[in-house]
Amino acid sequence: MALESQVLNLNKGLVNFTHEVEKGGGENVSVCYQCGTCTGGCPMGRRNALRTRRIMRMVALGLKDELLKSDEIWYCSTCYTCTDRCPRHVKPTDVIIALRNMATRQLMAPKNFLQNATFIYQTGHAVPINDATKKLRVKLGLTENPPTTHSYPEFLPGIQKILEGTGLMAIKAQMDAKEVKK
Amino acid sequence: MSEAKFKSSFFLGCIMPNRYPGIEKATIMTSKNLGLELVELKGAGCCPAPGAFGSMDILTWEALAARNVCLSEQMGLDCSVVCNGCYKSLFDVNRRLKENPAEKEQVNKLLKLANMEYKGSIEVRHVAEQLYNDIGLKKIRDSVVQPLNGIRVGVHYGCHLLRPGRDRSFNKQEFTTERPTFLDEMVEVLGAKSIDYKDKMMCCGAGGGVRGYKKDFALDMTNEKCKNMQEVGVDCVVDVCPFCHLQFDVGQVEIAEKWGHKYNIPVLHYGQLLGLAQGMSPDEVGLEAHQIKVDTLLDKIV
Repeated sequence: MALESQVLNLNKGLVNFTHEVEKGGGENVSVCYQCGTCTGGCPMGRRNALRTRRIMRMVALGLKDELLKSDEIWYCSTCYTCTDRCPRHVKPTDVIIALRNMATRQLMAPKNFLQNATFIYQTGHAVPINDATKKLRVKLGLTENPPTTHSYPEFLPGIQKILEGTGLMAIKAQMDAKEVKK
Repeated sequence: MSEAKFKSSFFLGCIMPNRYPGIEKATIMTSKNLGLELVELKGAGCCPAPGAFGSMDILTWEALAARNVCLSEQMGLDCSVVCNGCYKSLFDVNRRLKENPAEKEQVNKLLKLANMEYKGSIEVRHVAEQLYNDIGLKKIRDSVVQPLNGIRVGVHYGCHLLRPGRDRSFNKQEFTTERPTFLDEMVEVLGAKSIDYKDKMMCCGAGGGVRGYKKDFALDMTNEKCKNMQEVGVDCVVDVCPFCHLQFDVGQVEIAEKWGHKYNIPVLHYGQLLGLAQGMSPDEVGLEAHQIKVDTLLDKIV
């Protein structure tokens, strides 16, 4: 990207975007002093392109589009080592989650994430039961289905209404439509 | 000893009841032996997964987690979990809503759609810390009928029970984030030996949706942990999280298929290890569901 357009981006985006990230759970990101404790302790970054300090700087610089379309924000395993160690009480993990939330609203979340929402919508569980486990449960003297939504499906409509109420299922539908168009 | 001194609802989550039910059985039985009664929590669902689900929309994550907490509130009982991911969802959301009335109001608007209301009247606990903090090491030691013969254990704490420390309230040396000791102590009172290994506090790799999105990255982390444990020689890895449990158990098979590294380190949840020490049989703690066979470990114990 040309330097000129980056400068424009900075002037327009800086304050709003950084505040949006802080409001989305990434509190204190504006006081990051780039010490690198986050990147230094990041176990995931040792094996791929995830650079936490770089992401914190990009947030402070207002580089919203670059961040939201980057693959790296989805590499974090959310171990919270950086958040635990940050001397400025920034919460880099939650900054990354706030960025993922924004990317989701722009229909840029990887498919497997939305798949979780569908499983929960249909069954209440992200990992629903299977036949082998049902058999083993009975053998162990447990109920064939656990006493969750699997045994009490009358709780499912409540879960579904919440998932619809926040607009998440609408996002899922839009992403599916986009997929079909492709 | 069977009289229950402590009682809480038992939040099951997904992976334990739906993949490793032996952990569920073992946790219920061993806790009962120690005076902690875990009562069925009807109608709960996914916690929902803090990384994989919270990454899409924090508010939806909070509302669904709060729904689970509400079910326990309605029973008038604290809520117990045995999974670090479930702990992150339920404990964090419970704390956030108690501390932040505006967030609570927003979540309650959504819960109204399910005819529920979050009140903030209970605590969320992890069974591992409950056993340590409420029951105590002495009682755990006294409950052992089959000492574990000094087997070498690689303890895996996982992430979300302890980190980030600023959002937890254990306030004890044994629960510090860089060098905790409570789980090592709980393993050792069973007659096993906790073996130190490199990067012990490192994540298993599965969280944050990474197992679903970039499995090779997740497995690369698991591989590193297994390698570090193999270097010091362990008979098994012991976890307190069914997702870490799955990542080590299924992950070792996937690592062998992808890269040819065969570790064959048996994987046990603490509830299962405690069950064996309390005299439950390998079948009773559901070891047949495990991908990595535990026979070599069992030969050393029995």
